[in-house]
Parts: sequence; C-alpha cells; structure tokens
Amino acid sequence: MSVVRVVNITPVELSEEVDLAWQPSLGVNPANPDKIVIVFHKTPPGNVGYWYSSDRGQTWQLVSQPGDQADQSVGLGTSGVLYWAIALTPTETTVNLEVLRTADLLNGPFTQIDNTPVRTEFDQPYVHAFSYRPPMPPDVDKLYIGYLDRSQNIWHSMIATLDVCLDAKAASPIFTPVVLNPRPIVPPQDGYEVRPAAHSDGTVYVAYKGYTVPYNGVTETVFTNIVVARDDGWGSGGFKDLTDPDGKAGRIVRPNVRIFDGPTTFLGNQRLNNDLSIAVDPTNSDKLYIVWGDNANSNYTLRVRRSLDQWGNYGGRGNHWSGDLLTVDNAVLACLAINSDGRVGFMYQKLVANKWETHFQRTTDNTGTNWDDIILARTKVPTNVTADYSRLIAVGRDFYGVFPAWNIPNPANYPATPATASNPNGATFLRNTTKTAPWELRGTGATINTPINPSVDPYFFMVAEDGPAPPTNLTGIVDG
Amino acid sequence: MRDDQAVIQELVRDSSFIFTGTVVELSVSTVANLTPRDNFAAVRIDRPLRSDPALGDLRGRLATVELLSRGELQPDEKAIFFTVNWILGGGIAVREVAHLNAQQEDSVAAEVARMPERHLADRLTDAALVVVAEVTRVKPTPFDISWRNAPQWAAASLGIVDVLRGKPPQNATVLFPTSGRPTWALAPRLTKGQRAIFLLHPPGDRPPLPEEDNLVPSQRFIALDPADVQPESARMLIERLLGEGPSR
Repeated sequence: MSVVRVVNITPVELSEEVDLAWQPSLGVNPANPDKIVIVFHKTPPGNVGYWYSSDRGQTWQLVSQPGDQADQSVGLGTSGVLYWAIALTPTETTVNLEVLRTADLLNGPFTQIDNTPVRTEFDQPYVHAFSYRPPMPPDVDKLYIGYLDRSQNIWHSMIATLDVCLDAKAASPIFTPVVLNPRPIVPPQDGYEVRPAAHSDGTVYVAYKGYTVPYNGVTETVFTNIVVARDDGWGSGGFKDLTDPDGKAGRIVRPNVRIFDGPTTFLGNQRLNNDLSIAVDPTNSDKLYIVWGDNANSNYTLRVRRSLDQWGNYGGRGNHWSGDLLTVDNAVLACLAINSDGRVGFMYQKLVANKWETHFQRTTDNTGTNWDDIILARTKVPTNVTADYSRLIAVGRDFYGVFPAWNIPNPANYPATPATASNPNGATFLRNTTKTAPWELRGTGATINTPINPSVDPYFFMVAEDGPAPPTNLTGIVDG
Repeated sequence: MRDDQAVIQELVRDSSFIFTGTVVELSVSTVANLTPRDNFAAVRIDRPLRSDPALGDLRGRLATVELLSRGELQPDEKAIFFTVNWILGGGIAVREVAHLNAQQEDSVAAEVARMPERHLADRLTDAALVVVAEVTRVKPTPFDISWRNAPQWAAASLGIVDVLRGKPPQNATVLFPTSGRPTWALAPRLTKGQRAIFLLHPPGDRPPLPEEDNLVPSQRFIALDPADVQPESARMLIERLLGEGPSR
C-alpha cells in the first residue's frame, strides 16, 4: 500500500495566475523532507523566485528574488542549504549562469558561489546536490551542475559540461568544469540533458548525449550516442573511470539513437529530445538505471535499461547494459529515482487519446521488468508548447516529484487522489476553484465568482510507502 | 518625506507592488512561517496602485511590510507604500522601497498609468528606425537546434510607407521569434499584410541570429518588445514622444 499526494502549488494569493509553467525542477532536503523547493520557467517577467514548502508539499509560498530568470534548477542539502542555478538575463542581449546559495529559505540572503569565469553562453542548467555524511559531522555537500557550454567552441556548438564542487558549503567553494564528451565534435554536438547521479561511496555517474551526425533540418532528425561516464572520487578525476571499447572515457550505452527534433515533430505540443535520466541505487552503486527517448521505431519511445556490473568486472561498473526493461510509447518528461529499498521510480507523461497522462511507476521486484503504475493526472493537451522536463527525487523510501499539467480542477483529472468531502478537486488546489461542477478556476475578492482562464501549472506529488510514520494529510491511497 | 514628481517616477519604476494602505499593527507578521520582527508592519491594502494582475482583487487584504526603518509609521496611519514582492502564499509579504504621504495618491496613480507611455518612450529612444510599414513577406529561417530556447526566427520584409525616425535601407527586414517558448511569449509575431508602426532595433550579440539568412547586416532589424509594434492610431503619440526626446 502506498499513499499519494498531488498538489497544484499555486497559492490562493495567485488565484488569477494564467501563465505557462515550464521546465519545473525540485529539491528536497534529504534530512528533513518537509522542506521542499520548486522552480520553473514562466513567461517573462514572471520568473521572479522559487516556491517553498515547509510541510512536505501541502502548502506553498512563492519567495521572490530579483532578476529576470530563465532556465533554472535547484538542490537541497541535509543542512537545509539551497543551491540554485539560474540563467539570468540582466539585459536583453546577455544570459549568465549563476549558482546561488542560501541557508534561509524565506529570508535569504543569497550568495553567488560559483567561482568560474562568468558563463555567458550556456543552456539548460541541472543541479544535483548530494550530502555526504563522513564519520565525523558535519555533512559535506557535493554539488554537480550539468549544462551545455557554448563558450568553449564556435558559436553554435554546445558541449556537455559538468561543474563539480566538492564542498559547496565552504566559504569560497571551488567549481571545476569538466567537459564530458571526448569524441569528435559534431555540430551542434551534445544534447540538452546533462544528468549527474552521486552515491555515498564517492561514485558519481553522469549521463549525456553526444551527437554523431550533424543535425538534419529537412528530416528534423538528431542522431546521438547515449553515454554514461563515471568518476570514482566524487568527480575529482574528470569522469574517466568508465571507458568505452573505443578507448575513450564514457561508455556508449546506445550508439546513434535517432530522435526527431524539429518544428513538425512535436508530440502533443511537447518538443521531443529532452528525455534522458539516470539513477543510482543508494544501497549499491553497482546498480544504475537509465531512461532515454528515441524514434527508433514509428513512435517516440522511452526505454528503461540498467547496468549491474560489479567492481572488478571487465570494464567496471556501468559497462554492460540490459536490453529494454520497460518501454513507453508516445511519452515524454522521463525521469528516474531509486529509493532506499532499491526500488526504482519512473515518472513520465504519456499522450493517450489527446490527453497527457502523468504516470508514476515503480519496480515491484528485482527483475526490473515488473512495475506498478499510478496515474497522477490525466489532463488536456495545452494549446501552447509545454514543459521539456520534470523532476523526481527519492528520499528514504518515498518519492517526490514535480510535473506540469493543465490546471482544470476536475477530480476526474486526478485518478490517484479521488475526491473527498474535504478535498473535492481530487488533487489539492490551493488557488480558488469551484468545489462542484462546472469545474473552474476562480478569482479572488470581487472576482471570486469569475472563471479564470486555465493554463499550465506545476504540480507537486509524493508517493510514500506506508510506514510507521506516514506523512499527514495525504490525499489518496493506492495499491502498490 | 519626498514628494516631487521625479522621485515618484523613480519609485514607481523600482517598485513591483505599490498601494495605499493603513497600518494595522506594528512588529507582527501576517504570513505563514515568517517570524515577526521589529521592522514589520501589518498593513491593510486600501487601494492597489501597481500589482501583479495574478493577485486579483487586493482591497481589504493584509500585507506584512518589512519597513526600511521602524518608528516612522504608527497604527492607523495611512501611507502610499512602494514595495517589492517578497512572499506570496500563506499571506502576502513585501519589502519597502519607500513610503509617501497618502495625499500623493493621485500623483502616484497617474505615474503608474503613464508607465506604458514611458516604456514606449524608452523603446523609441533605443530604436534605430521608426517606420510606418506593411509586411510584404514572411519567410521562416532554418530551424535552430543549437539552443533550446532559440527564437526560431522568421524574417519579415517591410514595405515602408513613411519614416518617423532614421534612414531606412532599401530592403528593411525584421527578424521576429516564432518559438512558442516562454522566453519569446511576449514578442510580436508579424504576418503578411500587417500594417503598423515598427520600432526597429539593431540586433545585438544575443539572441543569436540565423546563421544563413542571407540578409545584409545593415538591413536587418529586430522587434522583440511588445511595444515595438504599434497600431497606426498611436502615430500622434509616437510623434510627440519622438519630439520630446529621451524620457529620462
């Protein structure tokens, strides 16, 4: 048995909000999962801060910060320190990557901690914060920031890069950029997703895409390697500990994967070529799962695979990979996490009958081929393009995630959280809604009876294993 | 207390949330998780003057204001609060930029109402070319995969009817985004046959332009701000603003 919470995080104060939420990211304090932060990208000038929950996602507060923020991602350490990587656009003609830090999620202040030269040409930052617990306290926060760096090459090339910071709580943290792809440059070279995953034994994996054929604008096709690199010393060695048979660092899990990425290849208004995620088992760094999306067949398909190589095996951990353990057609926003039981969580959105279904699946045994399935939301395809990414994190036995969805408060749209007398919308809505049909968003004050146009909102969810101390006020119970 | 128009203009520009309010209580917080402090004041919002439209009807709501200094305002005192947003959710908290005597309310409201005009004036100041023109052709440029938020430019050829500022090249072309991504959500989209007043700007280093658009640099302009495309009915206003010069 598992318990499920699904919460539209827009607070009542912003009941008349109609912007598009985009590329949501999530951080959860591993030592205190009551503390959660969500960021996402909105229509300018709406990118003004981050969203904070102090009660495990039941209520949310937007904490404003100055600056015109675009792409962004967050991570939280066990001490409660927030790490926030943002593409800031101080002027119309510049965009800078900044890594900010604060220990006080409501009051700040934020300190800019990245010490590398200002990165002005980059794309798609992704934060992975990992708190290492040494024999003697305090915990040490390892920080990994994946992004595409275009400043090291010709203007239109982009290189998968990972900034490694071995002590992010230090007064003056040191960030070391690691260029990941050792193979020949193929413009535009690397894919958008640079996804690190750390383990408490010091192993850090990173998955990325290295294009193998120049982009074909006529067929709107990318061909790319799916690559996993590994470093056995927290990333201090440059991710050269896993080599491919071609002799270069980074194992090619799958070569020359075909992906459609162009103006006519959208799926339900979602752009393809955003789906790459990796997760390492917190109980065993030999065990890692990966998911990517491709157009090998007629449909865009998500493919989940795993590696179980042990220390000392030829080629080392991450060298051998399974075939497809799970495939999902016509699905996007793929992300993986593994909980403290070694159970794998997999979230994605699947286009079914012209609606986006948000699924959360978990392995039910160690084969990797048997999965349960919880449908968190079944919502209308937005009229505008949406999303790119979502985020999933495991803390202990529980999973926490964020996804974007059309925000009609009809309980039929949220199958995992049936309506109750106290929660008639199924999913919890903090913003004003009707509580009976017709299901509508509503304004505030003088406009409390006025319907508000629907849009795409971020939704927080958690799926908790039924344990001795389950979180309070969960909104649904499902068989798991 | 400052009250001249230039100060009001500066405060309006620098404040995301402006309202006339009455101090209800000092040193308290009305916001969840926000611990009271000596420089906090619970203020009833009497008249919102500038706020995020998503906040809806704010009249009568309480806001916690982090005051610049304690002791300047007392309970039941009314003032115009110039603030920036801080916390939305579990209540409203804002940080004070300044406050003015409530008698300045109409002046502040008038300055807020002038913001679109001041923004237009700023865009005119920055424009290299201001023309009345008709879009004669729209041609997409090759899909740009190199940047996730690439504008996916289209090139609009202009048939110039009248020139309000600058010397137009023979074949003026405007690049505009076609991407549906949030970065470009507010940028004007041009269509063939569209006739308007265009405030044209020379491209900068960013956003990157198409690599192979075959356009002569001196003929290539961008129009990214919603104010960069104006209806012809705005011509008198634009001519007046052009005559006045920079707005500040």
